[in-house]
Amino acid sequence: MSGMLYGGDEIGALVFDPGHHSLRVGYAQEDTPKAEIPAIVGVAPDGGPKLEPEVKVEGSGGSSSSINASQPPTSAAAWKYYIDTTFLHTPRQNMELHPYMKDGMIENWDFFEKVIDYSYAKIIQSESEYHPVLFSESPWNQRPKREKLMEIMFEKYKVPAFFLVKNAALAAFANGRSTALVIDSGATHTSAVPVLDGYVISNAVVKSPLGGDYLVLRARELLEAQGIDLTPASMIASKEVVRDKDKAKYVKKPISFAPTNSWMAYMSKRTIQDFQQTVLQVSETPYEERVASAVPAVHYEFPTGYHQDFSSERFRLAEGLFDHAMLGAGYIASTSAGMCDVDVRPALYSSVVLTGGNSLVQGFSDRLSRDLSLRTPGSMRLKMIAANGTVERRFGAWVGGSILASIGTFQQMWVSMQEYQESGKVQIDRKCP
Amino acid sequence: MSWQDYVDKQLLASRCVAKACIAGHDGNVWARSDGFEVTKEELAKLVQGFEKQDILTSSGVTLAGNRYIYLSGTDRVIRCKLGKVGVHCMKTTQAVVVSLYEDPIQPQQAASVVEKLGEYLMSCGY
Repeated sequence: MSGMLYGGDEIGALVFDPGHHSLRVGYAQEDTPKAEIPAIVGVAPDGGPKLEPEVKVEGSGGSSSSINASQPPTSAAAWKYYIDTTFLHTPRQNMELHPYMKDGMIENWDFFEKVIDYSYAKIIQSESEYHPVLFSESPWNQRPKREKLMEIMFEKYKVPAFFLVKNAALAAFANGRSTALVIDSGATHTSAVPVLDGYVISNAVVKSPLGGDYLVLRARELLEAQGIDLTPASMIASKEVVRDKDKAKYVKKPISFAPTNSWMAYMSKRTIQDFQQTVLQVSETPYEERVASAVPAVHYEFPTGYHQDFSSERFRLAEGLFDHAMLGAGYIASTSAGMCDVDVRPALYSSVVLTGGNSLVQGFSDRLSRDLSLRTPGSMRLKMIAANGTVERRFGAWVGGSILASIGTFQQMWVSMQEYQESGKVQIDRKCP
Repeated sequence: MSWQDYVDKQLLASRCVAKACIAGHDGNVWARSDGFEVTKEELAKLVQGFEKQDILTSSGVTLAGNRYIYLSGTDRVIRCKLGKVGVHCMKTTQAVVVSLYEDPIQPQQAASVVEKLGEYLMSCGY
């Protein structure tokens, strides 16, 4: 039989859950990840003194073909990488920010490896060869990428065992179900994935590009149209109290250089994200100006000190997630269930699992519940499972991975180093369906 | 080895497969295990399904009168299940290998066995 037998409680497996917003990493058997590392890598030319002549390293292993702006390096010694919040949020000269995820899958392997190196060095603080690793992936992940990930983990990190699971299946486990219709609303997209007994029905997966980033975009349009200053907090030295809707009075931090555009864009995005997460709300019924204005307004203060009330705009912005004819959340959920076998549908509708950071927008679950019930036949029993805590929604897939890696019956399913050496990376489809 | 031997001595003997059958692309059964009453029509439909997975997604895969729910697949492999029973099929150059497995066998175990046999058959030209 494959796999190793680990003594009772000491499994020591690691769970990695890469997403567009962040990479969650931690130990199995725990209920939250140890770290949530933003899925952005800062790259700056190394300004330090060079002690030896630069070594030209040809094409350094990875396939970083997708980098646009600052062309990285043929010479590995010339660049410094900045990973994780503390390093990213300080303005640095010439530091360009690059995301490494695209479309729910890992795109830039070099940067991804740097982030994994960082995780092992600073978060796990242990050698990679001592811990089995469980990775989550998108239901639409492509075979070459799966094989490459397996290859990297075994060849470079020499992990003793590895497994790859679809994040939708993990989210279902985290909510106590093995059969569910998982609605995952994250940073870049919202998807509806039917899971049957822990297996994703890949042909019925429906996704839409409306997610947290879309809300940020719409919020940005609104705020810029109103002329609100979006200077991020890290650029502000001090500010004064002003009255409602008065122009902000603040003093900018004196920095000798101009921070790069990509850094400014990232920081202002975080500012808007804070606004979006605090203020936006989804109305229970399709948006109506009258109804929305009747709800008490929410007061919000920006990092510059400017503050005002927001009433009907809050609902108007968030409505974008639901009112779109083909990309709205209710539509994709019912389409996905509709693409499944008729016999399976009742089971799916009676466990609709809501997960993903973006689903925490106030009113999301109620509205989705309503939209779905409008689209399903009257006899269908609809039950939505939406965990209340932020941890359970944002880290749903991670928590599922933590649960899965800890259960006894899973221990025989790991792909061990030995099996990898015997059969190579092509067995990924077989061993990790 | 005869085709029946392949079914008995390779697939069933591994104990990762509960029932199995090997058939040609037209549906003609070359060998089958006891009690696995698949018909020619069901197999022919299954073979067609490898190319066009859409017919399988909505209607599922029918084998020996039971209708299994289609899970996923490629142009060589089809996976389905119904309750505790899972199905793993692999298409080779001239044939299709169909296997059924039940709890506590894991899908990966059945998959390994079926695909190893499938690859071997393909290397022989079948």
